[in-house]
Amino acid sequence: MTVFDVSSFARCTAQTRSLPVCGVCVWQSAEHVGLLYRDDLDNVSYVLHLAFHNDLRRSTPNSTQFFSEMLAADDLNQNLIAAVCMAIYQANPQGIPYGIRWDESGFSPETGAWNGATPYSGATCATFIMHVCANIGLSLITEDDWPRREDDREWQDRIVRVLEANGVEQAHCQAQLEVVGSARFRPCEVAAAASSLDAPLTHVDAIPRGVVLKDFVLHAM
Amino acid sequence: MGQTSQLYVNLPIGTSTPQPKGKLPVLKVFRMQTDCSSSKVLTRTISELKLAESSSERSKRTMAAFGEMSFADQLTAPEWLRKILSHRDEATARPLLATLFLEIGRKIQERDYSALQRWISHVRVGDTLPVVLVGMLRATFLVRHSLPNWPDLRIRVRKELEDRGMDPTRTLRGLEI
Repeated sequence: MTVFDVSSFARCTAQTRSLPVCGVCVWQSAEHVGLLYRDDLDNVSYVLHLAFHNDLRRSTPNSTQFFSEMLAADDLNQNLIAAVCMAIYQANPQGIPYGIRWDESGFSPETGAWNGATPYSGATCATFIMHVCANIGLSLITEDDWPRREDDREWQDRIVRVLEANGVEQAHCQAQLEVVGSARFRPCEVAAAASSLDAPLTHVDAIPRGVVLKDFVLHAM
Repeated sequence: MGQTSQLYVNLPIGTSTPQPKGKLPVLKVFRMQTDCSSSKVLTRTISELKLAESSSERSKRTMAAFGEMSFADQLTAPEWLRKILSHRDEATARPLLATLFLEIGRKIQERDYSALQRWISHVRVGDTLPVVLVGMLRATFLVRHSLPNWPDLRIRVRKELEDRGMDPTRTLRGLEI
């Protein structure tokens, strides 16, 4: 049994008729990731993604995106994740803070609203997906022993500067600066885990699969 | 001028006392003033009463749908829960599942774990869609330690999924803690 096959990813097109109930989407040179889900209330498929600080977006799938069914979950749980996406989008009209450290934050089981572990906790586009799944007991990645990588540190440093440049409050930026160097889960790694039958993945599997996925997307562009 | 009538009414939802399984609802007699504007209420209530009195078949059907729920429990079960527990079409269940997550979440916010336990006890696994069963477990997963009947539901759901030829290990992944 193949537990991960990058060819499960395909380009979203306007003609795509068979988008899954729940999937994962990567785009922007595989540096951004979101959750694809079908909203039965509107009878439309959406991509739910954390675009930036307090900017949770629900977009229409487009041809710049590559999607795969969320194979980490069976059909039944894909239905549940789609339902959770609908609930989370409703419950967070003010968006979700952007934060670079994975911590005990998550979506409040009370309301579906973002519930930061600390006043300045937030999520990245990738950890947003991890939080959505963790909220209902589905883990995509085993965070323990995740390697600290130098280029991740550079990316985190750059993100803090982008937050500052866009007027995000100084205390929030400062809090992010203090956790630069923490483990980073890259969009492709989370997308690869979400499209793997054997999730949750440790870094041993997630990182190389992320590399394969990124390579696939960059060559398909 | 109003006139005095005897009127049977159902107890308001949430105030009924628990009844033994299979019993008809407790009805109370109230005396009230009626006038033209309340006559519609009177007519409607009496017709509801007649329905209730002659509803042994309906009662059986309802008991089948709601499992071990007493009639009083059925009255206290919110409409959305009754709707989702009796929903039969998996393809159209997702909007109801979103409601399930939000409504359960609201009770967690209120720390009303007894309501959640009551809702869990309403679930009859044999008559409920698998996606709803697993949804109940996942929506309450984070507060499972406050719900003494959660592990029992998980066990019953696991067996039910097995009986339906599904793969409970995969479907319940992450809930086996």
